[in-house]
Amino acid sequence: MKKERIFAKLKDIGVIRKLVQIGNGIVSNAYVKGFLTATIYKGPLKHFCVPGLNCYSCPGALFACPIGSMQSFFAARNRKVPAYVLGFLAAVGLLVGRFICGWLCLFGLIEELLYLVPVPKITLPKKADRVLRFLKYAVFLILVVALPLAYRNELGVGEPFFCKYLCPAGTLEGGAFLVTFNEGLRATVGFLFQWKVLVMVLILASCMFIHRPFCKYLCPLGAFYALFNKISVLRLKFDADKCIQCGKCKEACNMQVDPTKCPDSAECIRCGDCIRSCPARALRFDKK
Amino acid sequence: MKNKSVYITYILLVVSLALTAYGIVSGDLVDVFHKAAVICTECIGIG
Repeated sequence: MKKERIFAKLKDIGVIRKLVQIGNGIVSNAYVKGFLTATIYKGPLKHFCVPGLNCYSCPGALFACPIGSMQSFFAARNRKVPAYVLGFLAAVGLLVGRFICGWLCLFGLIEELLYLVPVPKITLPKKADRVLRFLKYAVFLILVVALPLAYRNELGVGEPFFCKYLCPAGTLEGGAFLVTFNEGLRATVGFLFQWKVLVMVLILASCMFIHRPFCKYLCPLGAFYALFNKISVLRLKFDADKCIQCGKCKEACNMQVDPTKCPDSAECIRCGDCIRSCPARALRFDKK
Repeated sequence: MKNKSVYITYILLVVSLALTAYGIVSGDLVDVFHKAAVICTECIGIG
């Protein structure tokens, strides 16, 4: 009984989700030697992808990044179909949808922590917000799929356009640390690194004013998982009979979703803030 | 209608697991490893 009360209290204040996010970040980046020697892990776990965005060039990364891996298949000289990566991501999406974004993404956690900085918060006008949300699908189709497939250099190899020009996780988790502490890499820094640092700083700065701007507008992995939110096994269930129409769930949702109207919205990251805010317990996680 | 959508989800799940298995059998894990086990200079912004 006491245990149940403690669990309920933890659940109420959302500590469980934060613990899961932090635990996932630590487990995915537990190669301490990499941080001490400014190198990366090269062991057998690197054969496997994590479900969230986690740069495999982070000194601590034990696993591969799914978006980076997918691009490397498209950019390879023989342009292979990334069957393992696509199948794995689709299976995860079909099971839990964007739950991964809310619970198991290290960069999402970093964005949420930055949002705690006490500065005035911004909510974009609805129209601009709605248009910008489509950007992440364009990022997936153009930077992750089309350009790595289409562009070839003189050696017949493509480039990972998303990782190279946009991904702030690579710069933050890998680039910043490695370039600072690895002399060999520092010597090769040029315009591209300055561009990536600028992009990272802009995205991280915007995280203080807007809740999870990268997830909402730019993340190709979020875009991919969003495709499965309406059909995934894990669902957000809304019980209209219990609803007292207080509007607290909509108010609590930092992704600007109204769970009473669209509990399966592609924008819902299944963080559970609406469930915790509902005084009538009209919302819950359930399986299909 | 609901049953139909449940079936679609589970059929797609089986297809995606089959795709994963096909990728593993055809050597995708080795390709993932080769990319992930060296510092990706593009990813960290060196080029």
